Amino acid sequence: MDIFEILSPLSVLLCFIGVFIGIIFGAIPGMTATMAIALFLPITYSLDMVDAIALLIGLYVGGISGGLVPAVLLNIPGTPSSLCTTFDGYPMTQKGEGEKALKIGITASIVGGFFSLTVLYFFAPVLASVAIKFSSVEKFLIIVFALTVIASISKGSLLGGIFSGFIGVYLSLIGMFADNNQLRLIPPGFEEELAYGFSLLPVLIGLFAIAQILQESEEGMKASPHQTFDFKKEKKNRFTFKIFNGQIINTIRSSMIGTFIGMLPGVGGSAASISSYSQAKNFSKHPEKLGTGEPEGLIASESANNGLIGGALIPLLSLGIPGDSTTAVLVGALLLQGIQVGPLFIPANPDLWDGIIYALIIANIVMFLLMFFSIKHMAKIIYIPKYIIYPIIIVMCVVGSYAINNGVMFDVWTLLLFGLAGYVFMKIGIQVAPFLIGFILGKELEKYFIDSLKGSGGDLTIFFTKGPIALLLWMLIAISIIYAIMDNRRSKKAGDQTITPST
Amino acid sequence: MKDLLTVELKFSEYHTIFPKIMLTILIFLAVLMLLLNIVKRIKKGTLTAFRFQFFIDNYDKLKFYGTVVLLIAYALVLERIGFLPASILFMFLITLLFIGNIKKKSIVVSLANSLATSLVIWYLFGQLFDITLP
Amino acid sequence: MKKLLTILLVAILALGLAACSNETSGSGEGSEVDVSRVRLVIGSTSTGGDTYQNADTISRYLEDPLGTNIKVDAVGAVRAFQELGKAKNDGSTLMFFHDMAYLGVEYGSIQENNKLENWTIGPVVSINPGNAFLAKGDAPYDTMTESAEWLKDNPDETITVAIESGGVSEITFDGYYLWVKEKYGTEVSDRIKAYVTGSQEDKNQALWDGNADIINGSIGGNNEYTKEGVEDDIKMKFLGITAGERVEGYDIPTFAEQGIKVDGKEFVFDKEFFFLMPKDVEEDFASKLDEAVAEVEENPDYAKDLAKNAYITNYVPADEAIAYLLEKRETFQNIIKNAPSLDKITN
Repeated sequence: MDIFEILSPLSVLLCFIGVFIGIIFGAIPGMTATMAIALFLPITYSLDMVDAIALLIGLYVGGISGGLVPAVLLNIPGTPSSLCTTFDGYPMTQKGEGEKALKIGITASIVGGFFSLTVLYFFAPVLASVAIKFSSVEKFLIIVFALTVIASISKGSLLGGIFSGFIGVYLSLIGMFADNNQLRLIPPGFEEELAYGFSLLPVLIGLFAIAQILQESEEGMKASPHQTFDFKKEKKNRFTFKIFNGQIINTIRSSMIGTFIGMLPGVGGSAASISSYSQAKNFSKHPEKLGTGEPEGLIASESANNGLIGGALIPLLSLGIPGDSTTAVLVGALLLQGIQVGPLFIPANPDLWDGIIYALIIANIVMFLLMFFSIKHMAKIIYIPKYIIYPIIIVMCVVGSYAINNGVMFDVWTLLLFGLAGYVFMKIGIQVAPFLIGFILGKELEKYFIDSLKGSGGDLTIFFTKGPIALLLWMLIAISIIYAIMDNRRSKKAGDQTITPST
Repeated sequence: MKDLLTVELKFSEYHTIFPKIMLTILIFLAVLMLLLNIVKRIKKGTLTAFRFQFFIDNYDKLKFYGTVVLLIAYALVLERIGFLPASILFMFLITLLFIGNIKKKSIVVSLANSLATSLVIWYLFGQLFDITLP
Repeated sequence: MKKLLTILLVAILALGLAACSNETSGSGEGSEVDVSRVRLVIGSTSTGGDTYQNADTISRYLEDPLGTNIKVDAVGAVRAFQELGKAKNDGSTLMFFHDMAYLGVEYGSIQENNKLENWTIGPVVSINPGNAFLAKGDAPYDTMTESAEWLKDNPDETITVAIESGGVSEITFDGYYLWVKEKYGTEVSDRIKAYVTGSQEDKNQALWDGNADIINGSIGGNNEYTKEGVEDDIKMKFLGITAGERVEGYDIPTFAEQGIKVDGKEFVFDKEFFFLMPKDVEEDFASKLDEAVAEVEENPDYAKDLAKNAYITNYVPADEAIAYLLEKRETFQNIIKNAPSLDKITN
C-alpha cells in the first residue's frame, strides 16, 4: 500500500517531533525512552491510531538513539542500554575524536535499526513462535552468556572484575521477590524505601556522573586535556563511511544479536548491547584494543542497541507479548485506543501494521538526519567549561532520578549514595562496569534461575538436559569465557601497560 | 549425587535461595583473591608492606567536601522548599564553588547558569511534559 | 553557546505547539477544587494494565468538573501507599487501586498499617469483570467444573494452576480450590498444585512451556489468544470468569453459573476500582470528588470508553463505599483463613 495513504502529513510530523523529543530524553542522563513514551501516553488518546503510533515509535527510536550522545561525550550512559557505548566512545572523545565517534555511533544505529525492521517485516510471525520456545532455562543461560562479558572487560585483575560483577548481582537482589512478596537483604529501617530495591537508573548515573564529578572535584575541577583540543585537529582523522569497510560483519552480527535478544520476551534491552559488545571482543583481531577507543566496540554496542527496537516489536506485534519494558508501555497506548495486541494483530489490522513499519522507517531516517547534522553542535558540549556543565548535569540527574519512578525522593538518595559508592569503588579497586552489568542483569538472572527450578522441581540438571538450545548456549558461554581468559593473559603479558580504567 | 544437584524449593523461602548462592560465590571469590594476594606478596617478600592512600596528593579539600555537602544539602531541602528555589540556590553555590573564586564575573556566571538551567528544566519538564518534580 | 540557546529556544517552541492541544481548561462550575494539580498514584507499576486504564479513563473525565489537571503516576502498591501516607490533606495526592488494596494486607503482601481503616475511602468507580481462568486450547475440559470432574475421573493426573500471589489472582484460585475440596474431598483437591509467578506474560509462558495446565488471566489480556485462527500451540480457551454476571459479547460462563460455591455461597469476585484518600483529607474536597464521580458515572461516553476494554461502570458513593468494602473484605477473610498454604501446594 502506498505510504502516504497510511501516513498523513500529520503523522509524519508527529513522528518527527517524537524523534526529536526522544533524542532529548535519551540524551539527558536519567531520562529514558520508556519514560518519554509513558509521558506521552495520555496525549495519544486524543490522536488518531496511526498518528499516535507514529509519535510513540518516534519517541522510541529517538530515545534509544539519543543515549549515545552523553555516553560518548561525557562518559555518562544516557540510558542503560548505552552502557557499552561508553567503553570505546569516551576514550575516542578523550583522543579528540568525539565528533567522529558520534557519527560512527549514529551510522551503526541506523544500520541496526533498518536491519531489525527488515527482520520484523518479513519474519515476525515465524520468529515469534521461535521466541516462545525459549523457556526460563534458555533465558537463564542467555543472561549468563551476557554476563560473561564481565570477564572480558575486566581491567587488570580478572578475579577482581568477576568479584565486582557478583557484588552487582547481589545488590540487585535487594528488595521484594516478586513470586512470594517477601523482602530480603534490606538493612533494618529501610523496608519501605527499598521494597523495590535500588532503581537501576539512579544507580547507573550515580556511578557514572556523580562519581566522576566527585573525582574531578577532588582534583580541583581542572580542564581536561581533550577540552583544549583544537577543533581543526579532527580534520586529519575525520569520519568517513570507509570506517565501516572492515566492520561489515561486526555491524551485521551486532544488529542480529540486538534483534534476537530484543525478541526474547522478558530479557531486558541492556543484555543486547552487552552481549554484542562481548562478541565483538571475542571475534576481534585485536581484542586488547577494545575499550581504548576503537570504533569496533562502539559499532557493536550501538547497532545492537537499535537492533533491539525491531526485535522487541516482533513478539509484541505477532503474539501480544512485549519484548521489553518500553514495548510494554506501547501495549498501554494500543489498549487506550481499544486495540488488543495478540497473535491475530497483524492480519486484523493491516493498515496499522503498515503504519508501524513506515513509522519505523521514517523515524530511523529522521533520527539519522537530525543527529548527523546537529552533531557538530552537540560535540561542542565538551568545550563548555566544567563549572557550567557539571552543575547542569547534577540537576538533570536529580530530576531524572526523582522522576524515573514518578516522584520518589529515595531515588535521589540512591543517586547520591551510588555516586559516593562509585567514587569509593574507584579508590578501592572495585570495577564499575562489571559491577553495573551484574546489577543490571542480576534480577533477571535470579528470576529465570528460580523459574527453571520451579519447572523441574528443584533439579539443577535441568540446565543441561533441557535440550539442544541449552547445550548450544553452554558452548557459547564456554567459548566466551575461554576467549576472555586468553585475552586477559595476553594483555597482561603485553607488559602490564598502564591501562587506566576510565571510570 | 542426586541430592547435591537438587535445590530444596519451598514457596515461602523462594526469596532466599538465590541470595544464598550468590553470597557463597562472593565469599569464595573473596577468599580466593585474598589467598592469591598473600601468595603474591610472599613471593615478592612484601607481605607486611601496606600502602594505601585514599585521596590523591594535595587533593582539593574545599571542592571535594564542598561538593559532597552541597549535594546532600540539595537533596535535603529539595522536597521542603520545592524544586525551583532549591535548584537555583544549589546551582548558584556549586557553580561558584567549581569556579573557585568570588569575583564579580564568577557570580554573574553562576547566577546566569543557575537561573537559566533551573527555569528551563522547570518549564520544559515540569510544565510542558508534566513530569512530577520535587 | 549562542547556538545552543537557539536550539533550545526552537525546541521549546516546538514543544509548546505539541503541548497546546493538550491543555485543559476549567469549565467554571461549582464543583471545582482549589488544587491546580492532582497526582493520582496507582497501585501498579504497569501502564498497560487494567489499573492504569481505569485510572486514566476516570481521571480524563474528572478533570473538567473538578477544574484541575490529574496526572496518573504508576508507582506500584508499596510506593503508592507510602506517597498517600505523606500526602497533604488538600487532595493534591490521591490513590487509585482495586481489591488488592485490602487483600494484600490479608495475605501479607501489603503492610498491615495500610489497611482500609487507616484511609478515607473514596467512591468505587468501575469493575473489571474479566478476571478469568484459561487452559490450552486442546485441554480435556472446557470449564472449571469440568476440570474438577476430570481430575476426579483421572486419579493419576494433577492440575497445576499458574497464579500471582497476594491478591486477586490468589483469592480466586483459593475459591476454586476450596470448592473442589468441599465437593470432591481432599483426594481430588490434593492434586491441584499452584505455580506462582509474576506478570501475565509469565503466566502465559508457563502455560506454553507446560509448567501450568490452567492459568489465571483476564478477558482484556487473554482474549486474543482464544480467537479462531490462532495457531494451536499458543491457543487458549476460557474456563470461566469470577464476576457475578457474564460479560457482554463473550460466551464465558461465570463461576457461579458453573455451581462453584464456598461455604454454601456462590463464589463471586468482582474486581472493583476505587479511590483512596489521606485519612484527614478535607471534607470539602472529598465531597466534591464524590459529586464529580457521580456526574461522570452518568456520562454514556465514560461507559463507552470503559467498554473498549470490557470494563463496566459501577458507582458506589463514598459514604457507602467504606461499609461496602469492609463487608466484601470480611467475606474473603473467611476464604483466606481456610485457604491452602502455598508452601504445601507448590512443588
